[in-house]
Amino acid sequence: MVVYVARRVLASIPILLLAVTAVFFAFQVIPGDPARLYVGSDASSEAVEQARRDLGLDRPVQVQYFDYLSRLARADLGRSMATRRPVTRELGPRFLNTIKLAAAGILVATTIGVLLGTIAAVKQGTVWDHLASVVALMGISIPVFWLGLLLMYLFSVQLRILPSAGNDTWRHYFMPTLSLATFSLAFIARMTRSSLLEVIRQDYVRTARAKGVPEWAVVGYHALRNALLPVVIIVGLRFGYMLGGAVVTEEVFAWPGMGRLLVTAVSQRDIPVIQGALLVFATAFVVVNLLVDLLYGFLDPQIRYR
Amino acid sequence: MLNHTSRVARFLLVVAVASTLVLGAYGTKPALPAPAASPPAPVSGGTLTVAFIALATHIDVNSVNISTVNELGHYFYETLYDRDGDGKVKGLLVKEDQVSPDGLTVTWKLQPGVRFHDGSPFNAAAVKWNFDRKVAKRQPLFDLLPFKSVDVVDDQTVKATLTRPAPNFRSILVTKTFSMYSPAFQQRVGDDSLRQQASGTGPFMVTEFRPNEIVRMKKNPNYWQKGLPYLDEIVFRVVPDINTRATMLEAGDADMALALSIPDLDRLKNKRGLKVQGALGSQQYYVTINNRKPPLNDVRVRWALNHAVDKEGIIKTAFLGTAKMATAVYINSTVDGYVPAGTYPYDPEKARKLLDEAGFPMGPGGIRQRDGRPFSLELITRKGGTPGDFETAELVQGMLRAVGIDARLTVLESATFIPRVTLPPDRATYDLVNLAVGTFTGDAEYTMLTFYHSNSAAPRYFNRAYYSNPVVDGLIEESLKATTNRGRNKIYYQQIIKQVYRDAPIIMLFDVTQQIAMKDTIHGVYLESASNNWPAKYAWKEKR
Repeated sequence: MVVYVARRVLASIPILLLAVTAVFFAFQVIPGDPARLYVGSDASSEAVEQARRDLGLDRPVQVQYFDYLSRLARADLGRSMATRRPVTRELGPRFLNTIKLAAAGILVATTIGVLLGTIAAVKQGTVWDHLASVVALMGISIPVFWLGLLLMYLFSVQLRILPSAGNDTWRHYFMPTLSLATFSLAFIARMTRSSLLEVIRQDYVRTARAKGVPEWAVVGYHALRNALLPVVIIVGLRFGYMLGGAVVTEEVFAWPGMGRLLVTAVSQRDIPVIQGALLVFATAFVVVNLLVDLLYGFLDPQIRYR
Repeated sequence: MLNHTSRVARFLLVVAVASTLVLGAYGTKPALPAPAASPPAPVSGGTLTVAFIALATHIDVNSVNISTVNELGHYFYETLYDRDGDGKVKGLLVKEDQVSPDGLTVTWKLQPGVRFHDGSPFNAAAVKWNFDRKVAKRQPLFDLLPFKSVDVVDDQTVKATLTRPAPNFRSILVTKTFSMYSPAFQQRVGDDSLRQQASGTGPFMVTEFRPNEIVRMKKNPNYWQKGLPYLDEIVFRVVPDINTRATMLEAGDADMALALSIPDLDRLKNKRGLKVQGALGSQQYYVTINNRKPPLNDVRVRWALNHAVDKEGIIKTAFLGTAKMATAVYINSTVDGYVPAGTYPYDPEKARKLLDEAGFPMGPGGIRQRDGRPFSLELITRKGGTPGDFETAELVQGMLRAVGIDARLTVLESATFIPRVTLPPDRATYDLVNLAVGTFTGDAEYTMLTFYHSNSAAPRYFNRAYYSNPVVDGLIEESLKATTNRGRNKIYYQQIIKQVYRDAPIIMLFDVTQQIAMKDTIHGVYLESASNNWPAKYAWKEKR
């Protein structure tokens, strides 16, 4: 397994390199002058040229690129053009905030999603099944920003029991977590339901029932364990997306995470931060995928890594 | 419990009725009487939390000319001069000044006993250091001041020698990009750290700064203006979403919210416990016309564009009546040197006639044409660059269509927009650009030198219309010899402003009323009209 992990890690290096290279050259081509954005639109051309020199943007593109690569090899992601702080210092706390939110989100989504999916499968065709389907459908259909504002209106403006925005206390987690979890929750519920319906008709489940195993144990131990295999993949993927795709939730709830950082960096053409953020996203996605693969093997003894 | 139940019931009712509407847009209480006109006397203490817009990336106010950064600078930095709630310029760090009869020398006596937050003294050497640094680093607006040198006379006296008279120098020095930094602090931490840390002489000291997240400031206990500030702490929370900023105020999580949508401001002014304060700022909305590009180089076409647009209609629909028709090109009554020139009243018949005269008869499909080619123009705009900009562009597009001009809308994000419309004249391909300008020096010389003069063509400055009139250029150059603002305004600016109006380099639109929403327990906040900023350094919180 160690060899497998090492091989996967090595294979991800060219992917990450390709990603940062693509971003670097993409921002050379697309319109948007970082020096102009640095000093503001009301600055004179002389002030803009001075900023260009200060930021090192007056050097040839290839020099800037190789300079970036050589620094990257030394784990130096450079400095933000906007704040002049090391990129690692910009990314560190923001990534931690995103991980916290994504972890809370995936925990809620998985717990409620599996529960809903299980109820829907076990009570197939009943009102519970329909209710679970409606909840899942709503979760997939409601735009995140709208749900966020709806929650804010209820809990912050009307009831005044939760803070509307920010991330200072544990109470700040409720609304962004729910908002972020809803889509994944619906997805997981539907996947759990269909997978469990398939498993529940298998011979070994029937055998368990024939042996007189209580229904909760049949479902919870024999059926669900096997039904969750495809769900694990969905959970892993959703977690990966949450790490990089919580932009809307972070914007609505003023959550200082990676998504917000990236949006601001793009609007300011802060290329070192964009590259750094992308590198972190790509790495996180690779790591999450690797962990899911390993977990899959743990859950299914038939799978062996070479 | 009963209270909560009724609130939930009301919420459910709102959701049921307005499920497809923007949340809460119409969930207001009935209009309430305005709060008492004269609040009680100021009291000290408390924290002011402000829901702030994005792009508070750093706090190095001198390195940029960006309103979001400069808004923050009010609190911890100070300038030599300041502007009060009536727009009048007064000395701040300068106690008194003296200008030589020829206008070429300015002597400043500084406020005594002022210290920077790091404990170092604010003195003549610090003033000289700040000006020298500004020029050496070519920081924004350094070239607006014709300073030959700045010299130390004694510890509390500074002499500035000018290359020409500049009777407006006080207005320029109000601008926050001329803030006084502590030289000792800069030498200790370096330039890059000034983007996150500050040591000024202001009433508040920065205790925490996280870019685009939070700026926390506490009261400066040694502030030189005794009795000020009233508040113990000011916290700026960056909240990028415009709806969330309004919600934070409604939820009581913020005391004040900046840059809200016009419908939200209209709604919040009737909410119990909140108030919306408004005043005319220097910001003007307009549509730049590329004056070099045929047929827009024909003044009859530019007049027609101006008469075709129903400014009052846009004000009523997109701005809910919170703007005023522009009466001069780029400037309004908040700017020293302004004179009203005219409005180009809405007259589509006149516009049609002018277009006929210019050789654009009506063609098939209601679009005018010349030599078989339709009269088609590109109108470039942002969406959300300034409130209501996109809505304005859409309305202008429709109004131009009504007189037979096919205006095509191109919407660009800010980072793409600025370079696309900041090009040398020979590379600029645009026809019309939807823009806004604020005369943040509060003085019309800024407009003369960076918008009206032919040398101010983009990208050097902001004459994106590429307007050029040798008569205007000559008058502007003559005006630079004036030693008083009054003489300058009367002899030159009146003529210039009226001539530029006649030349119609832009489609004149309207001057915007700046608005801010806050709890009705907050007092002492005013609009600094030139910068369009809301200094809350004299703010205080009423205890109820």
